[in-house]
Amino acid sequence: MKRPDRRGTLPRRPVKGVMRVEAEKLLEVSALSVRYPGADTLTLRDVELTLHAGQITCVIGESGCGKSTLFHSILQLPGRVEITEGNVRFCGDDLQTMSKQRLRELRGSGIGVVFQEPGASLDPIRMIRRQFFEALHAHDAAVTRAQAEEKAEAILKTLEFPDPRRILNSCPAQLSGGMNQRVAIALAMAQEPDVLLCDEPTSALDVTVQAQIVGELLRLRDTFGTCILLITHNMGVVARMADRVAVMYGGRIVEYGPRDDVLYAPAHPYTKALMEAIPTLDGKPPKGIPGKRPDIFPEEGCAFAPRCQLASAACETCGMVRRKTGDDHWTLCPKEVKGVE
Amino acid sequence: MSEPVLEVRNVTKTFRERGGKRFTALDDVSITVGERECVGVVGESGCGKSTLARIITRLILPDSGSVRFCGTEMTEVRGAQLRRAYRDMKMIFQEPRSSFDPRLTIGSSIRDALRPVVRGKKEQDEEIERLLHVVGLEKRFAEAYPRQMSGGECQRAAIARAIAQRPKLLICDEATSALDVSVQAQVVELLNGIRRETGISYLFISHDLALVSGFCDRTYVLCGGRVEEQGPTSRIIREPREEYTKRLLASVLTI
Repeated sequence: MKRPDRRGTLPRRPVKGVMRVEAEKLLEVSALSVRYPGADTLTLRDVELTLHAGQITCVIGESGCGKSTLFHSILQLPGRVEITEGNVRFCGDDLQTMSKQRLRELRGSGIGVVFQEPGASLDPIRMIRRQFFEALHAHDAAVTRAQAEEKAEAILKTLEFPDPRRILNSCPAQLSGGMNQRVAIALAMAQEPDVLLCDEPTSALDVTVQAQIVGELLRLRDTFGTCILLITHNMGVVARMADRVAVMYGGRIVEYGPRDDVLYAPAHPYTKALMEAIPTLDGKPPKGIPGKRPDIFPEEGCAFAPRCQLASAACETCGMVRRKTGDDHWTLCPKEVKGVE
Repeated sequence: MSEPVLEVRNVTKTFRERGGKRFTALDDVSITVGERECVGVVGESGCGKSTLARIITRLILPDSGSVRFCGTEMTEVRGAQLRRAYRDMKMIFQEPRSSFDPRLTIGSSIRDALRPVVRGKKEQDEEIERLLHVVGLEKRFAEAYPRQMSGGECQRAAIARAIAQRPKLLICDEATSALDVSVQAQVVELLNGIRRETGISYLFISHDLALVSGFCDRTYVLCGGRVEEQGPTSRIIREPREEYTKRLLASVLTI
């Protein structure tokens, strides 16, 4: 028997008006420094991140480390952030110099988004069927209601919803938080984005539902080859999903590399401490990181130094240069972390 | 064996939904917390965890069943007796900021809690300072308002206030769920330290099985208002007997 061609249900198409210069690199963030309008200090410093097709990249960090700012900079939401240096490129095109019209087309069809609060991105009292139509119609005026519905049903089926018809005829207010989050993911995917940005998609959900969403996102990647950027503070989610991991602290990416290298052989003291702070099932109590996070990110030197066990006086003036520690694995810490207890 | 600090026996609570249907939040739930014991209650949202905490603290009354706390029947006491019982039973909530009066400094909030046990302003001041020190906060936080503090600091202050009257039982309802992992670990370390020093008992309510595994001696797994499984935490993690516990364990995303 021939395997059903699941890709066939949602044919991939080239992004409108963009020649794919390099199919591999979909989204490139280079030397990005960002501040909030009116603020004196930068919220992001020298952020470097490349997303490849079919890959899941996770950005981990605790609240206030700049994760969401990075998210906003990639989306280029007007008025949210001010880019002072560097750029974000989608398929080689600089998003900053792009026209508003083009940017609007890109959001949704090029870059899809799933937010933390499942209810927040859906209209609670409008049938999901209509919300699918509106989303698709906004990008292609030729789409009819019937077509939109057909497409919606197809994608809900792909995501193995128990009863797609019933879901389409419900309002978000009638569904659970977990179901709404799954609908939000389906809605983002209906527009066939090349890149899917997820900001803490599982944090507001129960553990069993969390596991389900993780499975869903993985299936999406396997089915459509979608490139996913996942922002989260949940290391469990990272361990289950990521191909590449970027660890953020104090507005910088302090470590980047393949998942197994970063999680199990961390090259930055913060990553190491973070791993030890996570409760595990083996009954070992989690170990806290002493001190508190910085409110203002220092211009030079390491932001983690005041809480770091390995810190020395030199850390305050440290150059914060990327040090390669392995294949595609780098850290901002000049010290050898591996093997240190 | 001495009498347990807390004994909840066959508690049932139903709520009336719109349209007259009845929703059973707790169905014949029995739990005990012994002296110096740390007991976990795990379950997903809607399993009845918070209803249980509210019944134990007598914020609501159960339909049937009894709640005995240090020899007091919580479902029957009122007035002065209830206030007396509240001295020995304190609760910490998920949202640290919302459990403090925003118009009072942390110092005054703790002073309010101290009033029945410590007399004299100077003695109270000293005790406030000591309590803040115990939870790892600097002296200056006595003058701070809740809004000026981070979530972790605020939760520490809530713990300081909770232990001010030297209670016998501390009920933590998702006390660390709103915090970052590194801060969560700090707070768990703090709670562990307090337990070692004071021998206080804990009822630790959480959705996070991994967190409970590192903190609690015994655990109750709650699902749909029923106790699905109970036993020593290590046994539940290693050899879960009920299907639901197995499912819950399987969905913990381990690293």
